[in-house]
Amino acid sequence: MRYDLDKSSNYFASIDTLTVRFEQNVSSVLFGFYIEKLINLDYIKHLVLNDKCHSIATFYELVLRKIIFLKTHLKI
Amino acid sequence: MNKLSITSNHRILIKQIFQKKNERLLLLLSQRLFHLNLFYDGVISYETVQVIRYYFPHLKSFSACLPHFEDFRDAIPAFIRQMKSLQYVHIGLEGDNDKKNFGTQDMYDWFRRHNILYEFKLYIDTYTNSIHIWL
Repeated sequence: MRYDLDKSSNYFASIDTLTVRFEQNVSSVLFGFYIEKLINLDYIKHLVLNDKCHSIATFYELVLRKIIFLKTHLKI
Repeated sequence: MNKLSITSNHRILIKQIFQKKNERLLLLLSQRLFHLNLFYDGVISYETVQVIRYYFPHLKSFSACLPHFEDFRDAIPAFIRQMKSLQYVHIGLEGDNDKKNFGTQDMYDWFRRHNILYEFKLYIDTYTNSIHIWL
């Protein structure tokens, strides 16, 4: 995962629906780090968690990131 | 994000979302979501239905797989009446309703009999054993 994503320079700024499917358990910190590099989470309208291997920690990453971003913005 | 779908997932994740210790997450979701679809390999409990009523009173659409219809028939009208913005409900039913001689006609009659006063469109899918309700 790390290798593939590091190489990728694509950034998807306007994805409407994000479907997340994990083949195996992943580190939520690593997932949070890479998902922000790849996708503009602010734009997501529909989040689909498909299949197994989801954890509350990775779900938190998807839901909370935007809030944390907004909070740091407000401080500035 | 205003729509969340959880499909073919472990029931553990759904359980965890509604646990007290994850209330912060639940509050964030309750502020944002208008559409909630919980379709996964398993039914949601009556307690979870109650929590959804409490945290998501503004949902426009809701889908879930519930246990046997007879266990839920008393909860459904109150649920529909309390969720004022609800426009679409999709209820999947867990198997063997037929075995208990509780057919689709009974479900239809049951919905008609209850005081859901406004007009609604009911579609009963015997193939997936589910009911779609447009309010």
